[in-house]
Amino acid sequence: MERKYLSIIVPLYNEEESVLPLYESITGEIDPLQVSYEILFVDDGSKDRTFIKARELAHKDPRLRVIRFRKNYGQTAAMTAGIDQARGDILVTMDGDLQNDPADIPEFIRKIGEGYDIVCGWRHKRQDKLISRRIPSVVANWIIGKITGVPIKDNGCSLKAYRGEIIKSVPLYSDMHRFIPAMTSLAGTNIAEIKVNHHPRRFGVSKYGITRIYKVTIDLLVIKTLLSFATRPLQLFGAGGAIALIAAMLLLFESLSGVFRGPIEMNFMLASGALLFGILSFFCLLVGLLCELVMKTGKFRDLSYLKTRAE
Amino acid sequence: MEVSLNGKGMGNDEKRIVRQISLIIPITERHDDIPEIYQEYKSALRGLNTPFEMIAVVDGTFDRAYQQLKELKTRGESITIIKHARTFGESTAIMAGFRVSTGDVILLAPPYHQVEMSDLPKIMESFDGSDMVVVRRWPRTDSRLNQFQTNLFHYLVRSLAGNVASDIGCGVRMFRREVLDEIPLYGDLHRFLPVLAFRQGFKIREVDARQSPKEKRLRTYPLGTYLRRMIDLLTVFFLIKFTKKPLRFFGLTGTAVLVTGLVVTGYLVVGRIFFRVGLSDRPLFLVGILLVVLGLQIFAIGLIGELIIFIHARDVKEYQIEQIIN
Repeated sequence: MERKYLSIIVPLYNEEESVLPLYESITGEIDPLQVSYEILFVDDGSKDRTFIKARELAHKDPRLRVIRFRKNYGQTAAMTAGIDQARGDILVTMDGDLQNDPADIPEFIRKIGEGYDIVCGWRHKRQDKLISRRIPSVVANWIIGKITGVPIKDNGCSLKAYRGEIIKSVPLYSDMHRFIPAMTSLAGTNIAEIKVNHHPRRFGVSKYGITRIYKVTIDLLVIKTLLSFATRPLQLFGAGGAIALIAAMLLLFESLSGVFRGPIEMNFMLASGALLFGILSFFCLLVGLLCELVMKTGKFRDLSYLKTRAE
Repeated sequence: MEVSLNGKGMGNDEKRIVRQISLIIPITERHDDIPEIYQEYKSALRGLNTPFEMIAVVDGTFDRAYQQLKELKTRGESITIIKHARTFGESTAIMAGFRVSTGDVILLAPPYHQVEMSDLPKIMESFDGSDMVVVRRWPRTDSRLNQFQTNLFHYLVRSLAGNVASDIGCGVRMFRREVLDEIPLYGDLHRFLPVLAFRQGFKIREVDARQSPKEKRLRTYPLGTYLRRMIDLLTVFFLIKFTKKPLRFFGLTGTAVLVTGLVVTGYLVVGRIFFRVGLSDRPLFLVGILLVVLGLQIFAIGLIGELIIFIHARDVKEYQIEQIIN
């Protein structure tokens, strides 16, 4: 398979009007750079003529590759497919709705050249509705930054550049594309953030709604849990087990206090509680061991391996 | 250059050519007179003007059916016979037939009269442009009790696994070879093949065919069968809903249980410390602790599941590519 210097990945879902202008603006910006590159259009099961339009272009230009899904799988899946199929050393992802500006791409490539592993775009002059889009976004980004410990001003911006080998080893599923920086922070990657242009939507309709707040919140909690447990599950579950054990001891002591003080029998209610907590502490230990085992069998540690090799 | 993956990249707007149909008849406990069934299927297939082959899989010691099949064969009928030494189940029988089949389109049909096979051209017609056709027996001629059973079962299927097909109890199905290539059947999953195929991204279509008037016999099953069906349904439900995001489900349930437990326990402990209400005669205390323990356990199970998915996310593809150009 032929290696390229740059892959530009664009997920498309019902964007038939955007296909041609998108292709033209990308080629218009990248051609002057004189690098070998490819464009990957990932058609996420569009119901309109997106695929047919993209296919027409691809027949004329071998640098354009089109991936078509059997049905709609969502943006994370589309990005993952693009990343899996990409042949470039540097991967750039962007939205298919023309709101990102390909003119920013050279700056991203320059940042990767400086040694950053991930470069995130920040739509500092965002062209969206204030109440329904921008305010929730600011709040969400602040919370995401606080919880994951990776303060990115604009997680929702699709325009990002990655070092290929890093992003290819990040586990991406569900709606995780929003949290790629947080996920990669596990491996201690360097993340840069640059300001990008943002245009108002020209064609079609936005595919996001306010309902995703729930999904994002749950995903965020999942990621937080993963991030805190993934690297040292036994330690954390061990701590939980210890707390349960202390609770068990306290209850046991309380249940026996009558026996010490005088001729009162052992309190069975409290003793049963103590037993339950005792079981819990044992369970915690077992789960911790199981998690440790799961992590050991995975390829997860490859990430940190990659990092040390790159240095 | 157009690359189609595993030959499934025909696009949805082009017509597909069916080169050969492989009819697979899994012969299970319930079967009618085999030679009669054979002749009916054969004449129906002849009418399609497409090359076909017929495969009968005898799943267990059904001696009479097996003898009749062998007689058909000695009389010069071209039929492939597979005989299982014992009963392995319909899914296994279908997979056994699938393995020896050579057609690009598979037609499943039961070893008893279920659908008027003269409706086969109609089924074939609607197969064009889709990946799988599921037959709905309509209009129905069987007893009210049978219809009630079917309706109840489908109500459960719809609410648990999603509305994909409205008669998954019907054994007549036509689909592209790739469906079984990607979905290995085991246990009793054959019944849910449309649901699983839909989830895998195949295009499913439903077509009505007249129910055979011979399928009139009142059918009730032993209680165990109904129980098994329920467990199958739960398996499919779990496969569909929770294998991708275990922590979303288990995490929420676990947290809810844990919080309830903490509130109950906290209320009692505060009473004990500040108001001197003894704990020893309050069984609620045990309930509270049990809920705490249970909540943590549910959460932990979800976490293990999520970790496994997280670790193997790169191997488990969440998407199915239809076609790649260039």
